[in-house]
Amino acid sequence: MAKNKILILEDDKTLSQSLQEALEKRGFEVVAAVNSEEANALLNQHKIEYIFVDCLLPGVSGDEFVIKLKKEKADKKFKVILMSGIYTDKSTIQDLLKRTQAAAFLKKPFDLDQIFNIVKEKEEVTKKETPRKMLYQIFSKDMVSTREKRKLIESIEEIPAYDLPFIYSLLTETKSSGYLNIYFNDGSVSGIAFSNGCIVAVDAEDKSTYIGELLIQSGYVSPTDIQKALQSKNNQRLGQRLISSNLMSPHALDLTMIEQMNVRLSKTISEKTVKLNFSASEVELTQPNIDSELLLNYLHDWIASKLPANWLKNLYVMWAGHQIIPNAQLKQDHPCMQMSLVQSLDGLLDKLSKKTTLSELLSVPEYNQAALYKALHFLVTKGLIYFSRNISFDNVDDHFEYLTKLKSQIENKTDYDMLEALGLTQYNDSESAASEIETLLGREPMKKEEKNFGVWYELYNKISTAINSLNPEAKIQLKKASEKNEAENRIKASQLLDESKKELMLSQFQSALVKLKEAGRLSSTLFQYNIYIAWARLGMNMQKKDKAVIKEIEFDLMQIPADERYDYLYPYVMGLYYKGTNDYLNAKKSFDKALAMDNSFLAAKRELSLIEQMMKKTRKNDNLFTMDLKDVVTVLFKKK
Amino acid sequence: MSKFELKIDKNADAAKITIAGTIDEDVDFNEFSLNGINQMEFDLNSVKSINSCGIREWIKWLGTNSKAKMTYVNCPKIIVDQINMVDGFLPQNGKVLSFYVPYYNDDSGTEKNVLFRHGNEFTDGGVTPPEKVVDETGNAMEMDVIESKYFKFLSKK
Repeated sequence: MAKNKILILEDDKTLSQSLQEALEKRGFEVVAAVNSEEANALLNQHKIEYIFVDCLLPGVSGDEFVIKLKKEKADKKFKVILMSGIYTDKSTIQDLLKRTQAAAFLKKPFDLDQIFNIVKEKEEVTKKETPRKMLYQIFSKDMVSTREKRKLIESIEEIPAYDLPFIYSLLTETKSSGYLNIYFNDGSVSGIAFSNGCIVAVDAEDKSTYIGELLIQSGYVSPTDIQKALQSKNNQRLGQRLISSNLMSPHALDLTMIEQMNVRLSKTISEKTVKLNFSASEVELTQPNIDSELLLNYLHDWIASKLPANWLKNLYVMWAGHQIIPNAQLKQDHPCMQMSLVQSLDGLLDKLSKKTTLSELLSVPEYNQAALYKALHFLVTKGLIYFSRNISFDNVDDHFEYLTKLKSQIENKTDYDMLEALGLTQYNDSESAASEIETLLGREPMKKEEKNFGVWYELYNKISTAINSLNPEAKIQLKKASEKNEAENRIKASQLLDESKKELMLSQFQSALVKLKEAGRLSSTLFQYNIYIAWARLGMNMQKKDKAVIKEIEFDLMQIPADERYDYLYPYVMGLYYKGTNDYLNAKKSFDKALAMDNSFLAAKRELSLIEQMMKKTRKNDNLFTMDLKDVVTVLFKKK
Repeated sequence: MSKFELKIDKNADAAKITIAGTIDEDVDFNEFSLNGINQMEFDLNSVKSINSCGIREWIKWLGTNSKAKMTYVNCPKIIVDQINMVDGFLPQNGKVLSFYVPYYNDDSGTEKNVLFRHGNEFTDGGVTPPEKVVDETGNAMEMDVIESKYFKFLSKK
């Protein structure tokens, strides 16, 4: 049942109506009665928290009504506020307050602020949202002060590290300076230094630098250059040695160091839970750094590659029926709209401009659901869209459809799994979760005959019962069981991944793909999973070159995180992708890179040789700008 | 950026160590040996910030003389946060004798740090905040921390 409702019992309709309007504007749900009978009926239908009662009512007086009510409904917790323009002397008021146990007395005419002061304290408590939910609402504010950011980050006890891109974006968008320390459960601490919104340093306990791999894959140096630099006898770091030996420019090192920060940031984003602390401080703006423009690309990359679609699905389930409100900056030419995730969803901007809901967007048949969740999360993270505070539906049918969908989503789940999917596991009693449940279900239907009435109550009762039935100890046990199950599934998935790797090496793509799909179903956090699945799909599609499959493969490739790209496999699979799209030049470059990372990788050698043959065949039709210099000379100067 | 400063005042086998500024990767604690000191009081009043490298270095440094009795005084919020979140930031045999609690007035936006001292505003058993904290113009101020989180370290010991 809904919380935070107010009942006005007042026979003066003008006063009652204006009071109702004023309170509704403040977000309260208000019902009004003109006599005690009507009031009793409303009290039976709704969960009322405050009753504003006029002392002089027709028939039974207000104070008598309250005394009787308190006796009859002793189990109900509501506060009474008496109102009167007649009884205004101090002793009468004191007597009335004593007899009725009312919380306050208002002399008419009263100021609305007096009313708001009475309900303010309660409003703050009942309207209070969970810190994570507040986190995702922060961009709906025009200005976010340093104090607000600090308070918000402080209020979060623990968050999944999947929330970190949002925190990084928040600190960048708000031009923060200071240190964000991230504490992992294993006792390790990572830190990110922000200077005026730019990320200037990323410190992680995992000291893998990747610098050699990054330099080779970027094409700035060859493995031979690295060997040469490592042989030089000095104490400089690898990058500096390469510069000193004139094997690389300082600019190339800067770019590589930025990518190194990206890899380290990407590594912080995982299924682990973390604690955070942001300490505002003056931090020097050093070079190289990740500025907001660059962070935009990385954010897109992290959201596309690191956040599992299922995690996002659980995160947004509570927002599914809320209107998506676009920020004024959200226009077709905004850089965010050019990003692959958003581009993969045709007409998304138009749909967002019409103030749609997530639930509606999920029913667009041509939208890939994983891409949709990720694209929306990207836009939320950039503060370009936000969800309305209150769930709203244009009509009863829409609300009914939404509730029916929600019901089907949780139908076969256990109580614990259902609460986990709905993000309600932290509540121990349905009373404290009431406002959250209402946020999820939408407004409580007022009339029994309405289509959505039955399903709303069914869901409300199902969720409330589940919350009340699971005591904290039971939840801990279920959580442990769920974690154990997850760990077992991960082991099975890793085994399947290993088997599929072997099959891919033997070009048994069909069988590998089946195993990979099963592995993906069992676990969403497998290292290099998307590389393998793209490889299998590319292998199967090499002859047909089906455009729809190529689109799927492009989405697989988009989901490969930065920290999984720096070995021979990623450039090899990219080479296969270019080959599949007839881009032989880039295919050759990619296979070259794969071999530079591992010269003994036979599959890459084979593909390189094939590509070179293909390039020779097509060379006749090649144009001067893409030919090798030798061929240009041959074409231009050979004897006729 | 606030410069790091460290001063050790030795008196027989006891020492008062005063630290100021930012504790980060540039700080080399090896320069400040803790050997031979049995009792240390760290005055952290002027510590402005600490980053992840600084946290690691701090723990490593204190570990070089883990048997000594250590007390922290005048801990600013940034230090209290680390004590609460990082195991070993306050060693097992360490004790906080005083720390700051931020207060805030919603209407004027003023902030103030109030020093809580062991035996006065807090004991090993809990916290007894001052009855009233006011800003310069007499406005009542409220504690600006999540109490269950901020005072967690008091129940750790």
